[in-house]
Amino acid sequence: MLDALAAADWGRTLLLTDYNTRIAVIGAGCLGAAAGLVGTFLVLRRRALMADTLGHSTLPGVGLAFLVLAAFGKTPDALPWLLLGAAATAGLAAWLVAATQRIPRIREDAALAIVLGVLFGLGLAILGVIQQLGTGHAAGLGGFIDGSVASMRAQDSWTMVVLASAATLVTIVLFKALTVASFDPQQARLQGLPVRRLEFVQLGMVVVVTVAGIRAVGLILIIALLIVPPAAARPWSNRLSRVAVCAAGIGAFSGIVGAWISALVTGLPTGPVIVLVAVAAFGFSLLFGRARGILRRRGHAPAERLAH
Amino acid sequence: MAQHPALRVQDLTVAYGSETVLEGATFEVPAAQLAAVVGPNGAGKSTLLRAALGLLRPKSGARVEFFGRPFGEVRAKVAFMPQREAVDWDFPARVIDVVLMGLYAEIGWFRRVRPQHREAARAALARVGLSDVEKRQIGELSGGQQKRVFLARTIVQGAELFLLDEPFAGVDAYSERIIGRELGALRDAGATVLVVHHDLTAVLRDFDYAVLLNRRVAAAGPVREAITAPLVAEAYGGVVPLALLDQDRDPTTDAPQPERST
Repeated sequence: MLDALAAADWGRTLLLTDYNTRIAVIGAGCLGAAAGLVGTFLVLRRRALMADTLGHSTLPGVGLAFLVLAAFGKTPDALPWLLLGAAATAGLAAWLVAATQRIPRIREDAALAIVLGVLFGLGLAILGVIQQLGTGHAAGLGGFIDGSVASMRAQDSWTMVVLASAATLVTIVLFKALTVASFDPQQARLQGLPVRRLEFVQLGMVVVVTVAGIRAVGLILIIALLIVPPAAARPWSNRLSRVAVCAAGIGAFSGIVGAWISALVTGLPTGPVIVLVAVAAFGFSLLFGRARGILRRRGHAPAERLAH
Repeated sequence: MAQHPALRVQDLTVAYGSETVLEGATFEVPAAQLAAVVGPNGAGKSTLLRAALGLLRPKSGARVEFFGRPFGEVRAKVAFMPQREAVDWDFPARVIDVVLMGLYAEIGWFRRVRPQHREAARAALARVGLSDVEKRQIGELSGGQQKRVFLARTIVQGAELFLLDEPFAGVDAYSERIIGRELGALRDAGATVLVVHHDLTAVLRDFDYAVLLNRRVAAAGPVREAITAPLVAEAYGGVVPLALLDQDRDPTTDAPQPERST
């Protein structure tokens, strides 16, 4: 293990003097913040499984885009095109879930699992084909599954920063609308909000975050980055605005620390490390959270509820 | 505006799958009335409110007007209070946050909450007697308090027509008194209030107007005309549920089946 850590590289990485690494770590921070924010509303609306299915469904899109680009003789790992492919099959997945649910006796959870299986399986098959083709760039696709900052170029990091910032911005702008639509969708409709379209935007942002994080975190664990920071934030406050900010902070912290650790230690995949950092934050919050932490519960036990 | 009823419902039919829960409901609620929708369990009372507001899709041919206009043109004049089960009480929101949500459309979806909005929310909380718990997480409240939080969120919207789904169900006596008082105050201030209610005695005592429902509208009118022993007996399937109606009960309608809970 120590052999893997060339002393000079260690120093450079520790201080983030290497441009590529520095941008990648900052990008992972932006990604974590965006995932925390988007994930907060995902958890409140109980759409975590939907997000997981959409995340996995990006794989065949990435693979197909790669194949199409290779067939046309372009550089097949041009990220924007791969991301477009990812968004396309995620959209297809959302439609398939709705269509599958119309089959009698197929409930939503089953529909989600079926669609996840079909599209992720298809994606793995396409990936296998690509690796058989043996084009020079195919190696980079492996990183799409478990994420690797080491394989990221500066332009990949910038793509991540731009997409994550877009998702963050949209969530902030729609904050009040998403709040009412999450708490009381009927009330939201009566107040004139397009609740269905808001849900569409919400799932669209899940795709954006998934696609943004595909390089650094990988598409399997992106769901954890969407769900764990909001879960870690909840014990700290009973106010949604603070929970959201806290989730973004924990996401950013996990992204930065995780990417940094994985850049330091050769061979450590980035996605799992980021998620493990987030899970550690979750454990800490569960115990020490100011509003609902197990060790700090200041709240009022049910027995203390007022009579009226 | 005075020439239009606050609410006019025509031929409203709702079916869940093959089961028709509301059939051709037609009635009016005149302005400035304290009105109740009453009927046995499963009569379609909640369905009626939610379908009138467009939250459920009615069968075609229905026509619903609020102050003579379709709902979309007058949404700011109409406020709705759902049943408690409509939301997750574990949601990260304090009491005052929920009341403020009632003001979001008025504040603007992209604008900040300002001090005057907070004042309005506090005033509404004071009316329902919850000033001292405004910073509590909503799940920490009792059922009656939670109903009053919802009522405050409804009141704060400053509407002209208030539709409330079972505001009195499962609440303690203290909450019931406050809710009743505030609904009366809204009516006295000129608003129209339509309440899904399960207690005929209370409706006869406190309300001006009633819609008697059992999948169809059995009667609609001033409370003493709509809630009469024969009409109630018919709507409740032959069982007059209340001793209150003893004075003019028709002995031939005394059916042997057990009394339905309301």
